[in-house]
Amino acid sequence: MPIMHRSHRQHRGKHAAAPQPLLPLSMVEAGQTVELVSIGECRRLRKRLADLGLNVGLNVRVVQNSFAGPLILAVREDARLAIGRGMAQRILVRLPLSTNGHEE
Amino acid sequence: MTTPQIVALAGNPNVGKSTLFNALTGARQHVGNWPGKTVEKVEGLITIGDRQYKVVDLPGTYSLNAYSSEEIIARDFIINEHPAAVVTVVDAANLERTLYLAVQIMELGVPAVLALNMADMAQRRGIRVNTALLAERLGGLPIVETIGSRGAGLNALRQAIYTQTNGTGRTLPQPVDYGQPLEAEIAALQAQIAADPILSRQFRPRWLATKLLENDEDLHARLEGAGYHPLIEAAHAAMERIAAQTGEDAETLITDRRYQMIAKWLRGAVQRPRSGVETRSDRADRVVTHPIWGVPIFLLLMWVIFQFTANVSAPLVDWIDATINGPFTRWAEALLNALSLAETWFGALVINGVIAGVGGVLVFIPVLFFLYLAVAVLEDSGYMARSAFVMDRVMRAIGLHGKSFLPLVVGFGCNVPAIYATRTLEDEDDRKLTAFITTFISCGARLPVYVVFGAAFFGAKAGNLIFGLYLLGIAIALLTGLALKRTVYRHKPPQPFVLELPPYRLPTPRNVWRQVWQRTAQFLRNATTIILAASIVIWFMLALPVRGEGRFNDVRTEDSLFGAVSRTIAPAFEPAGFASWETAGSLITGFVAKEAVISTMSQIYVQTADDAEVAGAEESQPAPRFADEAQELLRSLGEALVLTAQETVNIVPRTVNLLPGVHLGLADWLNRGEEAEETTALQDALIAAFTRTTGSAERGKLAAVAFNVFVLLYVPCMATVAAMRHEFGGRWVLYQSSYALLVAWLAATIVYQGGLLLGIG
Ligand SMILES: Nc1nc2c(ncn2[C@@H]2O[C@H](COP(=O)(O)OP(=O)(O)O)[C@@H](O)[C@H]2O)c(=O)[nH]1
Ligand SMILES: [Mg+2]
Repeated sequence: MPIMHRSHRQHRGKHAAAPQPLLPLSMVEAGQTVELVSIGECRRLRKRLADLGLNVGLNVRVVQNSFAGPLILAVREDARLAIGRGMAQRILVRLPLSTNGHEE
Repeated sequence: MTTPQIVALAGNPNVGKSTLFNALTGARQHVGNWPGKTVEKVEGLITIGDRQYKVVDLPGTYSLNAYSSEEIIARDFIINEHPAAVVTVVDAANLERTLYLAVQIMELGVPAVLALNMADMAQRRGIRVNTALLAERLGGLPIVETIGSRGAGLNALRQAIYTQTNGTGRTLPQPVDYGQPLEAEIAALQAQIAADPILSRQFRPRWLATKLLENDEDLHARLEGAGYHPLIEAAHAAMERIAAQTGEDAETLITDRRYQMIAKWLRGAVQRPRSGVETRSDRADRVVTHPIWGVPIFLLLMWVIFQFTANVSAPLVDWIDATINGPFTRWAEALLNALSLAETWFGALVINGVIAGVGGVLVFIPVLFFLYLAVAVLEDSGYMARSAFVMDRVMRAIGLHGKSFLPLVVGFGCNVPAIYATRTLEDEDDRKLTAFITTFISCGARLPVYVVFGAAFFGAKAGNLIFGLYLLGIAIALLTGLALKRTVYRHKPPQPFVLELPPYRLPTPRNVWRQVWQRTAQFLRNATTIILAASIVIWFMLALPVRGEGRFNDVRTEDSLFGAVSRTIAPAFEPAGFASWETAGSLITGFVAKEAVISTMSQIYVQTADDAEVAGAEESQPAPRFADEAQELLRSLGEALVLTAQETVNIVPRTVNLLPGVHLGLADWLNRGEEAEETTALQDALIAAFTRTTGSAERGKLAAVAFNVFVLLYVPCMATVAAMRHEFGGRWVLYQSSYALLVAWLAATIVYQGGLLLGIG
């Protein structure tokens, strides 16, 4: 199975130099797979999302994003999470180097 | 046999805990609420071999962090009740995420069993799990594959529970190595905790140390409150050191590490096809959660549920009502006669107080049955989560949760199921807020009042009054919601909207049936007492003479305690224009059931029913034979069932008729036609009475409107009060009812005084 974790410590120092620009999750089109780079400042929220399987360093696929209302994400294989647009605007992501939607 | 050992079922929402629980325990279940919480608690007894177990279905949680009341319940139960074993149920098709909770439960150090449920789903998706390898990697944790919905794997599960609880089970090693610098800090805190006899008895020291580093707010607060300030200090210092050394929060590191361990265990133990494909549920969601189509689909479903609770349940409600008031009352009378009690006050109490009260409870069975049926199907199919998704934007704009919509819609049929429908909301405050405002939604029982008054005072324009009242109810509900959000619930941080969307599934009839039955029975157990008590109190008030010639149980309403109380409170309605004892009295009985407002008024004003009732049993027609009556009972039940089916079918034309310009006829299999109500005598009496109290016809009309406004808003009926007390406790009901009374009085007064100011009358 694909290994979706990397220690995200490495991202912290790196994303300034990374070739891929960061963008808010809310801007990602349906069907694309992106890597979570940062999840806002609120610790409670970060922990809550991690409980649900969504933590920094993870690759998620955007299943639905209608540019209004909540988004649907595919998280850790088969789980589907709906998250509010407001929150998605504060989550920064990066398109992976290979943009075919898969990380191997 | 010794006292049963406790086995807890834990797991994420929707992994099949309750299904497994039902399969394990069968019918030997008990449903209640967790102490002081509005969360359902279900327990059941099972026997495995020579041992007895009490199995507890814990609320669904994603972790042992304490965010919601569900999570605190689940965690406290495992920590405080020391279950002999915890069965963690995970989704075999979704292991990477569902194991997260399992890891945390293993860290607690309780004897554990892992149930890989949904094994069929996993297989269908081509996911293969090497349970032996996984078990070995998890230090010998017993792992059982199950299919809850088919009852597969139960024997192995029972066996695993048995071995884990008979003392031969293995103590599991610590599952996660957090690495440095975390392990060093954990060890230091752990030593400090182990040195404290009380703490080390209550918690596994390593678990508590990890939790403190994880910045668990609930545990921090509790230990601080119990005087463990130095320990909390030490934990904070450790967190700071970790952050300084690694540039990361300790809690983030801990979470990441757990997921890393899970990934490591699963590597090679789980084979699955490449992911990233669109599932069937994803395709369905493209329509169901579509930003445009989602809303009409949702509204349509809500409409159908409303039809079920309001129209489809009606024939059975009528049947129960007629049975209680007809044959059942006659049998009771015959029995009382045989005991020579029929003429005594006791006989009257039984007939008019107790039996009427029991009838008042039983009529809710069909209504709640259909509500719970709809809710169970929506929940089990996976749609309920989508409804929150679809309605989130709209409802949030008015300060409510997406799932608040269902209770409000159901409230138009009846407020009692609406209160119970708030159970679909996870957050306790959301539930309370929604329940608080549902009573302003005009239920079906208030409609007859508007209809009679509308016809009497407005004739052909009665529809305007009725429509206006419904709108007013909605407006007050929404305004109250907004006001509460700004005041009582102001300090609550806005709940982030994150929600798991489970895959769509076909609901299993067994599961649905069980939920429906359990919840309906629970209502009966909890509401009967309060409703019965209220009926008896009202009966005593009507029977007790306080003036005039009357004797106990033989007194004119006017001269009874009831009349006296009505006279006493009547002046309070002076500003609203309806300060007569008759109207006040009808409001008192209206508390028993809102439709009683009309029956009381016709009793007092028209006094036709009165004389017939006092006449007693002998003067009425000869009592029908028992056998005939029993046969008639069955016949009418059959008829009611036919009508239930008919109304189910009628949902289709009723729904199509919502389109403008379309008018399909409704099925009428028994050729009943529309029932016409005889109200003219009452209508004339009402006009006369309201004109008399206010002094002019125009003002009487204004007072009638004010009265209807009051009926719409004041304290909901006692069945609703019973439901609210059951769900939220007595104090909360007191607040709600006081608020409702105040709002009703203010609104009625504003209508009347405002009308006068505008020169009406
Ligand atoms: N295919 C399949 N469905 C299941 C299985 N176990 C439960 N379900 C279904 O999953 C849904 C959620 O189950 P439920 O017991 O309510 O989950 P809970 O939230 O964990 O209590 C229901 O529709 C069940 O019928 C299983 O092993 N296989
Ligand atoms: Mg359940």
